Amino acid sequence: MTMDYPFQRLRFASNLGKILDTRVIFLLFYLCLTACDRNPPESAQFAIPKDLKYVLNENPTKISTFQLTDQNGNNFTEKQLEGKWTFMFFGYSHCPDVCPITLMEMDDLSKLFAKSTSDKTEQNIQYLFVTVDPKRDTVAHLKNYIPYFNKTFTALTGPMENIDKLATAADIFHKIEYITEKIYIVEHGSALVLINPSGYYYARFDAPHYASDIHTTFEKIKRYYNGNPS
Amino acid sequence: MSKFLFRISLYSLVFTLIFISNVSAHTSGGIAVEHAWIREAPPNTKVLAAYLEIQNHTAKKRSISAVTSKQFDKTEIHLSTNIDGVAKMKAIGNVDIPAEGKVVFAPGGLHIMLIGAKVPLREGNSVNLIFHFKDGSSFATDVSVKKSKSKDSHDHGSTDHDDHMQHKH
Repeated sequence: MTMDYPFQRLRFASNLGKILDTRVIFLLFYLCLTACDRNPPESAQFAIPKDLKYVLNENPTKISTFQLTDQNGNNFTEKQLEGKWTFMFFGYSHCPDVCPITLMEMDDLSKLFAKSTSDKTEQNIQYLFVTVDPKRDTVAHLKNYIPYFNKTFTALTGPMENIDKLATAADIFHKIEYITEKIYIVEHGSALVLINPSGYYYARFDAPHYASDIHTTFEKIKRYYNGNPS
Repeated sequence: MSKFLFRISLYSLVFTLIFISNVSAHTSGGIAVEHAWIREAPPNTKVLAAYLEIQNHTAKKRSISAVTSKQFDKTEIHLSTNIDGVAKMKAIGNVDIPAEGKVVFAPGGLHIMLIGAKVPLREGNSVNLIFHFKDGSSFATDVSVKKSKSKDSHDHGSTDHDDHMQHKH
């Protein structure tokens, strides 16, 4: 008996250790999940800073599966939205005013990031132009079109229903309006949509766009995303 | 006698010059265009936009009913709007220039939409635009194609593109 006691205590201790181990593992697992997810449960989320109120999406939503083709003929899916920030604009190449203005502003933005960041942030941002006019904006046409604004930008096209899927996920409206029987224009949401590195529709910048404003706001968004709202 | 003839020819020259200047003022009908440019389109893209300031130096309101160009399939006056986050372009039937006033066609707003360039246009090319007025008169002007830079990020709302271009170069 006297011999048993320390043994039992040991056994108890080892059981406690096991329980603790399991708990620690669960805790670590949970921490890892929240750290990886970056969209922590509401209780853990910071209040949206005032100046980001109309920019941040209150309920970030995961961009669901979609399949489009880039200007080089490669597949582009939701998987390419992960691990980097994405600025996305919907437009069409036959748009002579708003679309070139926005694409040039996106080019300015990319230059601001390239200039201002000492780390590799700028390499972690991609710029997408998604056509709402796939009939005219074929892969071949976009290959000529998009490098005119920036050689690193990606232009996406594909069947209308595939474009719709992405546009709906990003809350972007579009509609064809005929000027004559043959000539048409496309009305389209003018916002610049920001997708976070977890592939969530995270923020939107309404038109008119100013690269320097977006640049400043993006830094705040990134801090908020990384859990430091100050 | 030769002195007399000289005087006659001098007078007639002066009169002719006055007459010519009167004629040119008459054809422009008190209309002047400034800060005009057309944004170069990316390769293979045949829709362009023209921007300019059109002034009415007469005491009467002038109304633009159409703008045409032989270099394009179709030309329309458009207004870009952004309502509830949706970019739309609305065709405008008539553009009134108030007496002694002006109307500005600028990026993101009123512009002349040039649809279907018959010959590809690059920077340095020029486009002949004809403004047709409701009163039956017209005004022709050549506008050159420019590579545009985006609007200055510090200059919210400004439409003075020329200034900005100088900044960038």
